[in-house]
Amino acid sequence: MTDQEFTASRRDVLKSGVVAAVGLGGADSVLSTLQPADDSGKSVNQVTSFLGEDQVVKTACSPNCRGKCPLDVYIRDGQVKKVEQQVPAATEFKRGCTLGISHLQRVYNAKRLKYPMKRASWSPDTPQPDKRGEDADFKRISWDDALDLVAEQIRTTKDEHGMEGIFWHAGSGDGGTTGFGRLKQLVGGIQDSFVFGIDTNVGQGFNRVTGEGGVFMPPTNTAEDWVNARTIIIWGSDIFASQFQMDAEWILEAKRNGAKLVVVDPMYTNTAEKSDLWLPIRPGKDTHLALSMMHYIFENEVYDESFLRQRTNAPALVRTDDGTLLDPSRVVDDPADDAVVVMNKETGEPEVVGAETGGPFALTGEWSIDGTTVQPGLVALREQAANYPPEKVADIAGLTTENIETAADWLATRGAGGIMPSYGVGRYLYGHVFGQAYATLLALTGDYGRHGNIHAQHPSYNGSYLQKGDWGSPDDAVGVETYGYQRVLDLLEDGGPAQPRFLYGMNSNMLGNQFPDRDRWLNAMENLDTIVWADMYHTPTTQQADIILPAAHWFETEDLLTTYTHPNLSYRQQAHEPLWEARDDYYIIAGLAERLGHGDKFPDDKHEVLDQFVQNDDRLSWEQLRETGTVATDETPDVAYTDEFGTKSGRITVYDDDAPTEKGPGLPDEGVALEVPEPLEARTDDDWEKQDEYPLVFMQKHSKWRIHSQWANVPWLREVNREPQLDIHPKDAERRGISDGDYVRVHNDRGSVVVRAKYNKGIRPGLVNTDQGWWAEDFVEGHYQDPISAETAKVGRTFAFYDCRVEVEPAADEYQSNQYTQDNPHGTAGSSAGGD
Amino acid sequence: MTNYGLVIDQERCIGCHSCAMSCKQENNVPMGQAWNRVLTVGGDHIDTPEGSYPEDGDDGTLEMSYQPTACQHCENAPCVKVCPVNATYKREDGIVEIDYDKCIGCRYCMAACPYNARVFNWDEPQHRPEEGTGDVEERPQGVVEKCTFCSHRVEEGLDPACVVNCPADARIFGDLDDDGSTVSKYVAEYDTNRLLDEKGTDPKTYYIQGEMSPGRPWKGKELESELDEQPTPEEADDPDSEESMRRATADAVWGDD
Amino acid sequence: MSGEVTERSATSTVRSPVVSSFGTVSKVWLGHLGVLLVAGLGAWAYQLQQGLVVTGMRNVFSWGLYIMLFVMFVGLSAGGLIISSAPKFFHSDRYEGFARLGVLVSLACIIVAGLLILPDIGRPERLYQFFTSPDFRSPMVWDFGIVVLYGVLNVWYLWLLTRRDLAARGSRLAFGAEDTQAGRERDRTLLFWTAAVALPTAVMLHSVTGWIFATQVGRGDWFSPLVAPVFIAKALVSGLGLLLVVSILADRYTGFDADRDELTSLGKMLGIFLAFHVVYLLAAERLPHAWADHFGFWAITSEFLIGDSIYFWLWTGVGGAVPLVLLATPQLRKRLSVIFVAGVLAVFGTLFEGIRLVFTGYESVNIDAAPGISLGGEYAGVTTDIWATTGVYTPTVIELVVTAGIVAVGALIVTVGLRYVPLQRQTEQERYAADSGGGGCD
Repeated sequence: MTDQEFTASRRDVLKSGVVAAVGLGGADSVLSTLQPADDSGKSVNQVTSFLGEDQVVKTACSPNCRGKCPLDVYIRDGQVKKVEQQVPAATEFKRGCTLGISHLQRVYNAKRLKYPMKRASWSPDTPQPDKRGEDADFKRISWDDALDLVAEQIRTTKDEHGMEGIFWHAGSGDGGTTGFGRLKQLVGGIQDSFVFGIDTNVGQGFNRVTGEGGVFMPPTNTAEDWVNARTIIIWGSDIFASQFQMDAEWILEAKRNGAKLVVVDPMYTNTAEKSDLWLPIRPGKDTHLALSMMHYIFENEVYDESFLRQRTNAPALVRTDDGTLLDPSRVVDDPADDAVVVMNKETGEPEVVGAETGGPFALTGEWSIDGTTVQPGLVALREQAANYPPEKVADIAGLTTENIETAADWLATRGAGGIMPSYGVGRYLYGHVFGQAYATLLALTGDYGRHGNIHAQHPSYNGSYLQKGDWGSPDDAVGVETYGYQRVLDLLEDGGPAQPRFLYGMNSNMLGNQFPDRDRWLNAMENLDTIVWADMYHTPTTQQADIILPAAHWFETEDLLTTYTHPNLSYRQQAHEPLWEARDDYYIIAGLAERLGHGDKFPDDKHEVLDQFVQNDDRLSWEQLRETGTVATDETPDVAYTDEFGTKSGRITVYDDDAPTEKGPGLPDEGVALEVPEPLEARTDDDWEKQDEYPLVFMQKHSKWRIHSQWANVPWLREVNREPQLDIHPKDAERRGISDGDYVRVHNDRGSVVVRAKYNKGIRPGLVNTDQGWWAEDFVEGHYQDPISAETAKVGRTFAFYDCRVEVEPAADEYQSNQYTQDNPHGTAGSSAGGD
Repeated sequence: MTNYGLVIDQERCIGCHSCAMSCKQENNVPMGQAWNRVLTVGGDHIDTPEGSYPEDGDDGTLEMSYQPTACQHCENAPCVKVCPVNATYKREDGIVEIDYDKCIGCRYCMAACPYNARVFNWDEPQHRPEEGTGDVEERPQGVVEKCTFCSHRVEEGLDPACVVNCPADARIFGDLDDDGSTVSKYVAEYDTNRLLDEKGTDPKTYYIQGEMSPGRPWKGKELESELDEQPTPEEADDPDSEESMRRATADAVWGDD
Repeated sequence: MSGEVTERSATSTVRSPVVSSFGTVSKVWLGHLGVLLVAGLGAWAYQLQQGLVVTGMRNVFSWGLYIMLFVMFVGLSAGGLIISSAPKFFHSDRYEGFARLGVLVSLACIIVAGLLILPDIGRPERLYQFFTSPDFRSPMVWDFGIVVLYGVLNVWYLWLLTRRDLAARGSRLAFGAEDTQAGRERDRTLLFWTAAVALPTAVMLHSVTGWIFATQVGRGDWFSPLVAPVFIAKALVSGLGLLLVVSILADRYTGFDADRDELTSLGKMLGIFLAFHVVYLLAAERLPHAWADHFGFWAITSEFLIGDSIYFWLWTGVGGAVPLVLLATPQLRKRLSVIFVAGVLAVFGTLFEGIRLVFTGYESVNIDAAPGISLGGEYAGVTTDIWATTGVYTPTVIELVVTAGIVAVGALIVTVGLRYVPLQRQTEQERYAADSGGGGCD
């Protein structure tokens, strides 16, 4: 074999990305001596390369951006040396972001948990929960001791306090196969869940009027179809920074294809920078804006009449006396379940129609049917929209009339389009009304079921789910009772209706991140005798635990991963054994199961579980999974909402006759009914009671540097994004005597946090922001969750992280020099001219 | 002859820093050093714009863009001309590279480079993890280092790491001497500019501004020259063409009335 | 003139060193220099072991004190050689009394300049690459050559000036030269030719050093055709300034005898050089920029007149305007103390000119968008601030000590030269009574 031949074959191997065959064996020494020379005979390879000596392992990422990007991991000398985007089976979904490719520094991270540990001051008999905290000491114990202790605590808790004494908590930190759900079903107890609590506002509002989707983002056309959009409104989301950056190409492609990109955001973000039109909305005025766009659409009669007649209840007759839909049985006998009464303009007679039925139905007018005055449902919406003319909303929302009209006009007249909100607007207390509002707005423009329609910021591929059989709900399950996150605090605090005594937590750094009013949580958790936490890292949350179990990094596990954001099902091949004594969560759970008498339900080898999933599924074969890492499983149609809607009438309820009444802070005691979108505000309202004391709205936007609190300690990322900062407009800062780079105290009557001020001319005056996901120890003092209320609304039931008012002042002198302002004579820390 | 160049489409760039991070990883770049940086052209901090916020019923003047910046691999590279010992040199394929065994660490090249693309190992290079990352041997203390266009990858038929790992397909690498290459075509077809063009360094990194390009038109990790067939970027529709409007408006899946 | 020399007897005209032996004060002085030298060596060893991270330099400001002082000492090395060789080229004996001391000072300065490069190099053990792999496009290679040539030339020149006297005194430094009439005659011819080579070499030295900067498009004002002429002017100012300072000190503290009239005359010359350098060339450099960048008359004028940094004012004010006024005032410029102060200020000023030159190159960054340039300094974990958008530089103690050690080498060379090289002026009667030597030095 000549060198050329060898090089050629090696290159082919490298290109295809399948280098597993080139292991760490004897060929390496040959490879490393290859020194290609140019024509001059001078060695051109001055850069000593190890390329080709790596073993390439196929794996995938799985945090809660839901991207599940397939990744190539390069191993040399038994170590992960780099991570690259993998070219998967559905090649156009080659993806991965800044975070995905920097996993190496998560695997080898100083914050990794190495051994099982127990809080020194904790013992089964004297748990001393008051001794938990940032100063708590831990001592190393063996895995056997750890698992014995946990199993014993589960048993005794159950004996003494009943099933509801056991509390199972999981966050969104991993999408792998752990057996956690299986075990809790077998053991019983109570569990928390996302229904409701976190980010469940926008989705539920949308769902209420369309009958589609759950509490998160609704279904939408798949990404390949977005290129057909003529107008894309990105609403309250910095998608090019957060959650979506690995899919950026789809929106860029739509824009290149002629789509108008509108961004609604009070901050001039990465995403706003790419927009054709940026609407710098005041915080909390999103429903106002949606209504004013509807107003424009009504006034200019650019709504999609045929869509409204056929697929919404716009023509459905509504009684003016009580606001209910006219009962079809008053017009015909035995109407179908989904029937509504409409007025046929041609016959002048009421008509009873089912879902997906169009016709010459009146959308305006008023009639008396058997003495009951009725109007088409659209009238109420129209009247509501009439209250929000663009010129008025421009004033309320800090926009220009012209820009509001342009956005509405583009959406209504340029052809198919869509709105991509994320969870941002849902982080106001009544954000679900915005979900209703944008669903209704898109109904007016007929943007459902067509190519180029968009309803959410991540696409919904339904094909790649694993056939897990009874894995999640085994025989002999005793079941668990579920509480939304928003109820857990009450549960812990006052024990009603159940008082958890034991908590097993995993995939979650809630206390360092997504639980508002942090002090209340810390106090409430003192009612727990035992807190067990499994995690990869020593997070601020594991620091509050009694028994800490070190979990393996994803790359150290074997798994199968699915997602709805792209059609590739990924195989996660183990890159190397878990470091130190860390264990795959599966084996932690299996060890517990064995001790709790459920060992027979958990095979000794996790591969057997995965093998069952593969055997269950015709599409999958180990051969293909091992060789290529992915299987393309696209069985989803491009276009969503082609069938009748999931509402009772099968129509979008632009008039929601069955609307709930929302109650909560800032609203009248009797509440507000929501047949049509009604702008509701709590603390963002100009009339909020403490608006003079705490004039600034405090937002915690998601950045490109973390997925929630994951990646917070990756050294490469921290070089660019060193410490928590407060985005503040120079005007707001100067008024308070705050210079760029000063440490400031962000506070209200609930709590405070000290961060470094960062002048940002792109943030709306009156609004301040600290990026979400920083760990407690990253703050000089306090935490961004400290000033945020854990209060939720009656309907919304969702934590309102952005519905927070604060004041900002220069921090005390002692804070002005701290861990981040080191004695670096060249650093920007000491000079105002510095970078970030 | 081959003459490698890079096209960066700033209209596509979303400022995510994937290129910068993959560069550090691939090239085992020491902590505290950056060969490839994503600069925010705007305010004083990254991700902040310059201008006035649209507060008072106006549109404001905020502006921001991202400019990934590394060695520009200039044709008339001042760093090559100043190096007293030929440690920095231009390869036959146009890549400006450093012989780390020759470099005496005089840093004249750093003074010469208008782009501040070069870094010097003032300290013993540090890595996380300590054993280092990527596929290139670390450079010793006391020498200058910089972007190599991932020459070690290019020699193996692979695109540079920053190009392969860009989620926005905003980076295209290829042979500027080949008129048929994507880089040549984009340079010809789009408004491109080069950094500090007026300095006469003749850089081979081109930045697209104005109209957005289709980006890197192939998904694999290989160089364009290694592809079996020429990639064909999808041409953008004329946004106002009848065909385009028809597809977007009338092509409803469900029946129209 | 030449007849005068021939008439003298060999023994009576043999000149001797101005310091006949090292006395207590000398020893204290030498001791201080020795301490500085040892400290400098220690600091350099520390720097070699730790790396350049112990300096104040970073990626954004990658040349510092060493290069600033290199530029300065190259300039300082000009004075003596030009003052001694220019008259010789024109077969004049004018300033003959300063020739030997001047060349000695030049030699010391060029050695200091050369040594200052060493600690600036990241991998000094690879300096042999200058010989094995030079790139002749590099101004640094040119400069390396010219500095070596200039140093050699200084050694040769000093030896040529003094070898007959050394031989007469039986010094081994004569290296076999004999003190003969014919030999001295031949040396005069050789001196002419040496001067003929030395003058253009000095011009080249300063120009090439200037071109190290002037060829660079990347660093602000460096890229200017004026830099080379400015470097020449600077060399004339600082070199002559230093020669005056050393001469007056030698006159005060050693047997060296400085001619008062010639000192005054040289002082006047310094004034002319200063006027040319600080007034004319600076104006020539600034006016076009001020004019092109501004519209209004006063805007142009103020931009033209008002400098931007402390270094600018230290140079043009303290180091330019003040000595110029001192030397331009007839009542003042005859006073030895005034000439001394003017010389000191001129040298002081050019120090800041060098500092300013380097600062203008690094202070502002061509592409200064955030986050900026990675500094490349010590990495102390995830809280390390690694970026800068402007160049900031403060030399560290290590740099100062290393530099002081190297400057001490120069001072040692001069001191030893005073003791062993015959620098005595030619005629006894020209010595001034008031300044008669012996000030306790020997």
